[in-house]
Amino acid sequence: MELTRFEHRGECEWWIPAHGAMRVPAILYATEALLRDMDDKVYEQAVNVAALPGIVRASYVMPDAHWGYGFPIGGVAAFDPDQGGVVSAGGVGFDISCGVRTLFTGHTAAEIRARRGDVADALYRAVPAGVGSTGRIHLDAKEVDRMLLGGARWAVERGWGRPEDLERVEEGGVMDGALPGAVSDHAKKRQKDEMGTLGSGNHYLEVQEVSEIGAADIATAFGLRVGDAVVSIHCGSRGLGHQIGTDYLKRMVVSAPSHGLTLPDRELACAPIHSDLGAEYLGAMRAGINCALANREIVTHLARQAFDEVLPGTTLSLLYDVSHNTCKVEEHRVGGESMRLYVHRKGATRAWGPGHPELSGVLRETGQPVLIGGTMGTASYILAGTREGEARSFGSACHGAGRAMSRTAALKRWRGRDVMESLRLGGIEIRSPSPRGVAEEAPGAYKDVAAVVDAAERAGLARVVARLTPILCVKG
Amino acid sequence: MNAETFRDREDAARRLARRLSRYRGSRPLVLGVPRGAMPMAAIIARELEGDLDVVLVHKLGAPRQAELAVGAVDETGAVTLHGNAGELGLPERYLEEERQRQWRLLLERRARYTPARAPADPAGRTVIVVDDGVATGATLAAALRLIRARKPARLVAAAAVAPPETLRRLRREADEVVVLSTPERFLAVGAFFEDFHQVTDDEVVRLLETAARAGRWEHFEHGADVGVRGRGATMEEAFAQAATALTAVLLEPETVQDAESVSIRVPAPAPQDPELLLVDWLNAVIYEMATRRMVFGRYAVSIGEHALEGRAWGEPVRVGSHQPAVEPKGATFTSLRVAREPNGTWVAQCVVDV
Repeated sequence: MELTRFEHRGECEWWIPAHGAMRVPAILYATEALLRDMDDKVYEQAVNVAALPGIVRASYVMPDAHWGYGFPIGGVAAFDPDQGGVVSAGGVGFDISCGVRTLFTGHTAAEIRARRGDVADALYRAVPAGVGSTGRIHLDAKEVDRMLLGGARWAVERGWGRPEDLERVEEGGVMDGALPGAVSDHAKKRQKDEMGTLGSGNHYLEVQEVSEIGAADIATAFGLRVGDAVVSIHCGSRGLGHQIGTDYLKRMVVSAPSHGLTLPDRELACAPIHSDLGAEYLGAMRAGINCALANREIVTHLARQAFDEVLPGTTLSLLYDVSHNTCKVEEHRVGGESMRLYVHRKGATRAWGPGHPELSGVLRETGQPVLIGGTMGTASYILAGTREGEARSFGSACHGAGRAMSRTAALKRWRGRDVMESLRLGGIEIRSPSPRGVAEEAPGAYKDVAAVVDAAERAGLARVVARLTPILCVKG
Repeated sequence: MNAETFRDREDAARRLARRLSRYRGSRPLVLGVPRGAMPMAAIIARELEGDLDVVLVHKLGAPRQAELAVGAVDETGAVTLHGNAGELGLPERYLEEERQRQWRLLLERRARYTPARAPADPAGRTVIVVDDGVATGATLAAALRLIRARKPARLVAAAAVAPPETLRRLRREADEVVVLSTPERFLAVGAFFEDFHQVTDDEVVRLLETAARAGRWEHFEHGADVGVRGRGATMEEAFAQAATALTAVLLEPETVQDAESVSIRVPAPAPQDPELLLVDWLNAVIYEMATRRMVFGRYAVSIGEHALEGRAWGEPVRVGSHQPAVEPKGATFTSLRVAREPNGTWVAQCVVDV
């Protein structure tokens, strides 16, 4: 994008002042280089979001932003229900509560490397991944509803996970206000045999080495040391979340005129929060969040079993679990008063800073861990939320680097087997059922996440705590 | 180049298509040697936006030694004789009877493969003849000679694997020869492919039928996800092609067997909105693939006043052999368009979240 279209207001802060239909400004957090690199649609979409009814303070854009459905991916927008605020299915996305969790292994990277083939094989056997893979857990209709209400806590109660995990998951592992009745039969049918599966595309399970420490005090408080091995799991709400997105996107498009909404773009499909459709979507979306939280808890359980096979006695303990496609109700201070807002984070992560009342234990001192997944074969980062983040972006940060080229372009350029071989030569084991899928996810197909994370820190959204490099990766 | 193996014929076909990419835009006529090379020829024809047909050439056998070729005949009845025909001193009457015999067999095969249309005419066209593996090249060289007699603008031979001597022989007959692997020792074609199944006549018929329809599909670029686009003579054909493009997100549609068919009914939104209908149709296909754990290679669509009646043909996902790449999450309203273009072709497209 042309830099001249923006007002440069801070080191990594660019404004599009409100004009035309915009009710608030759009504020983009990025370095010059990242901003220049962003596609033009980001401008258009940030502006369209700023025109939605009930939007408060600004339409925010994260350093990793790119073209999305109505909302840019890497978009944050909060709405006041009492000002006609809306909730948008496109503003949450098709993979509701897609997110990342990172666990300590208690081993060093060297210990894992010595057994990396066996560990990779055990994880690949334990966690179904990819198109056509079946989960080993089959739920009947009643159990699906319990899962949609109980989230990760439901999984723990069923014996798939540990109670202490829940304190380190957003919302304590259960999203309140889920309405299983608002989730279609289609969505439930898509999910009943999919619990404990990884999915495909850019979802993965990685064992990583802590290779660098940033903010040493926070790293110590989190329990991270250079040379440690950790496990990260990146996946979402699977078929159920996708179907909820599909179902409600359509209903919102069709009903927009009846709610008096003129959408500049059909993809911005939304409904007033104070409407039946809005309430139903919120209920369904919260059920979707629970599904993703339950799923990551089950995958964790399966990973624990796999580790125990190869390295008996290993305990995987959870650092944190974050989600990056959600709409949550949060208290925020706006213009001196406290407001209850519906905050959409589409491809953006909640990043609460030190002192936040909903954080407990050591995390209330450090701020929330923010887990930024790199893609297969590239580095990932652990950040921590900042106090300033609250005023800058309703406590939000980026989620990962976007793609640098399309899947079709990546497929023309790389062969899956060559990518796997070159990663293996670099010491990284890959397990995947689809070479073509691997080619589409080639490291070169993605932008540099280091630049994104650096921009987030310079913009005051989060602090860099650690850099992780992959040892092995299981992907669908 | 030394010997290498290919994962399967599709892998080899994609690589050949890349080597032949300069022919896209000249609407080449891609002729596959049945039956083994047909899946490859279909993929190459699609990648190069060309037409697909079979090359039907039979060898003329010596008396009491059918396996010894003395020449070859094509579908027009034209003959090319090998050097040994003169040496063997074969009577003209024998040659004429053998020509008639083999020609009749060729016409029977043609009637089976493309009953509804005439063989494609190579005259004035860029012709690319495709084989999977070529051993001695005797029959293929004869086929090239016979095609040459029909005056193509350019004649290209393409194969996955052929020994160096064969390569030289083919170079004498074609303007260009593209071969991916030239091993010194060539025992059997199948040895060079990890996955090498027998191609049946039914499969050949199906590949030709699919290629012959006016419809085409393609992907268009969209950041993180994939744009699917179908074109056809009717809106319904465009919808069917868009669904084929959706399949192609996971794997090559040509590799999906027609084991079962599923009927997919989509109620039409009222008032009529073909664009919403397209999104609903693609989402219905995604749902059926996900819940049945199937992949579909072929679709038919009929749009009535109240509903779209669709049919999808395919088989259960075989992860080991299909190796599907990525799962579509849902069809979106991004880049959504259903319209008739100035030349009369219908186009149906949207972005699919993967």
